[in-house]
Amino acid sequence: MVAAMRIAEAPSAPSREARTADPRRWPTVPFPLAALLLVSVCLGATWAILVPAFNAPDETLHFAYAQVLAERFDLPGDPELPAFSTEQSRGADVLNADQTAGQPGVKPEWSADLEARWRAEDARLAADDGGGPTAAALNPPMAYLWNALGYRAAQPGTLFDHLLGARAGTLIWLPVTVLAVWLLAGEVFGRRRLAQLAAAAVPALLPMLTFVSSSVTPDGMLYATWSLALWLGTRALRRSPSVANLAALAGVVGLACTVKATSYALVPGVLVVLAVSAWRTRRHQARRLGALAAAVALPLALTIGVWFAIASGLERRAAAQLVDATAGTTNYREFASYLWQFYLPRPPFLTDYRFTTEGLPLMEVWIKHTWAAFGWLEVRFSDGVYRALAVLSGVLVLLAAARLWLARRRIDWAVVGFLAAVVAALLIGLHWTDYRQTEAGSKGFMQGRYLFPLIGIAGLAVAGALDLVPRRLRGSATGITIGALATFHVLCLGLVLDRFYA
Amino acid sequence: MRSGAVAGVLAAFAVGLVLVVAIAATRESRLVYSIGTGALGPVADVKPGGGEVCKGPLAPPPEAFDRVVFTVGTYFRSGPPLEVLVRSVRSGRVLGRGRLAGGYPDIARAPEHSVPVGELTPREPVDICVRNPGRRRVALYGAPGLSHRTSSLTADGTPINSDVAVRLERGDARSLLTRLPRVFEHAATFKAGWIGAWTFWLLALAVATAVPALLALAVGRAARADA
Repeated sequence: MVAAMRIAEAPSAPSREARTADPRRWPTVPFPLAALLLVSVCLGATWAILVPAFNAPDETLHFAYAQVLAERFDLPGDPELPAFSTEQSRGADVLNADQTAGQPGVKPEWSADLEARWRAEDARLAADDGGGPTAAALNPPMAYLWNALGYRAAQPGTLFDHLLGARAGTLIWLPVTVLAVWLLAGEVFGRRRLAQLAAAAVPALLPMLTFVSSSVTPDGMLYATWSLALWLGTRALRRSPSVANLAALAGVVGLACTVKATSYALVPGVLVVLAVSAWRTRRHQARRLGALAAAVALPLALTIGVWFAIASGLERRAAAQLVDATAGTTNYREFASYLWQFYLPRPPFLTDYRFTTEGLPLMEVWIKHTWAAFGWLEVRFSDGVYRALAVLSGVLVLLAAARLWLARRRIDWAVVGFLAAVVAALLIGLHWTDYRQTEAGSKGFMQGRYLFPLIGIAGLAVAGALDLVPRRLRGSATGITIGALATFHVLCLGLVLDRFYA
Repeated sequence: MRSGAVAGVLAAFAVGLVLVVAIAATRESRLVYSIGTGALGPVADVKPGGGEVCKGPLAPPPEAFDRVVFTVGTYFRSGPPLEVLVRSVRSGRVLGRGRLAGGYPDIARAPEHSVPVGELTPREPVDICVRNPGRRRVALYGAPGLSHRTSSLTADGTPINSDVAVRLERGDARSLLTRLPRVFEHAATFKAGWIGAWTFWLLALAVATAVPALLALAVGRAARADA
């Protein structure tokens, strides 16, 4: 991270200053970035402490995974074992966590007397007897290792000490995400601090992203590795092709693939970067091209390859979700109908697709789930708030598109191609999986937070939209945007406080 | 540009903070304690002629409440009178008592009943009981299966594998703002050992002051760097 911060201080293109800087000098972090990192950690810690145990999406499953790693240094999925340890099951019972999940009218237990009795009982409960099969058990262990480290750091302690430690193991990735988006904006907009700040403020202040990144989940590390990959891919394209840049990109993409199978959607983006780099070096000798290919292949082999080897040794499926999503046959006409009806109202000639959400999924999933749907997604504002947020999102997309159009003659279209490849691969993968799971009778796979790996692009869109504001007013507009986002964050914290504890 | 940027952050945040305080000052609740069970369907018959259904032991926080809220099904007829008792688990002594007069409609027209039991601040575990001295049976609503796992439901002493939806409330609704100290106490339970209500006061202070200050400074410095 220190190395990345050193790059954060450097201008987007190597300058004479950067080349002549004293390498022994301690890296200085730009103040706006440092402040934003502090704010993100402060807000993340608030969410981690505020949200009741097991009241974040799938946190029961992810905590069970982390607990098995922390207690036995083992991976879950043994069909002979229960999914949850005795301690976790009993703790969830006492807190009333299962009843609270998804039911807005049900409160968690807040009796101090019961809590005191639980503390006395907790020490006698087994924490290492879980590890059975769950949906999360299919995930690779990379992100859970950090949760397990947090868990161990909270030893000795009760279940709730360990849970907070495990949440901190996710939270450490939030500032990495913020930093990566700052760097990405630096590559795209140059060393313009207001644009970088506006872009990085999106992951730092978007309440839903902070909420997820403060729970026990692999998603926090997923957002960080994806944001780093977007930055490194852009960096590799914006500068002359180099082995180091490609190797760094491939290494981060490989790391992301060991976090969640979703990250295989980054591979088309890597191929775009590799192809453009190869094209730009085509006049050089074949040895140079070979070096670039090796720069991609070797880090991928050292990350994904090692994970596949470990999984094979443990007789585990290394990319189970990916394989499951691509197996079997598909009705492509129906899939096209599904896609239409996800984003647009159904015309009379299309058969009504049986979505598990009510209303237009674009609104229900992409808008509501990405802006504010806490707990197990049941903690929400009234519908009017989301209609306003939908309009705001639409305006933002239009402004960002206008900015792109106005700058079309100066834009590096290779970067646009790279980012578009990543967006397309993720969206296609998500819709494909959602369609197939819905067909298989699932109650719904799609979640707004699955878009958060693209938070860097959302940050660029905000910065791009603000770039349309006349220069003399841009500072005020950026300030108002950031202040409004922070205010919305506070409102969301209040909403959660009211739902669970009032 | 710099002063405009700082003013932009602070103005947006100040407007938002006023909004947050206004919402907190007007958003009211009567809730003191809930066992966390929804009224999904009938789970326990309260037999006529003195039948009694009890839920306990409950250990609500030491906060004053004066009414018990529950849901009753009357099988499409007018409901019989019901007695509500708040009883000490240790001594069996009745700490609070209330009465729901007969003649109330079925659940479709009366989804909940809030029965005054006198002001109580229990500092010991209690049972909440509903007794039916009338001549018609009624059903208490709740959820199938035991959801509140630290207490049990009994009908005339026989355990039932279900839970009733019951809440303890205050008659006078209070705003979220005035209840904030209690809300922070609630939020501090079942958390890491070092966390207390003080933690939430500290976090609230940080979010309300340090966050906007840092953001304003960040925007100001960024604007200056760009200039």
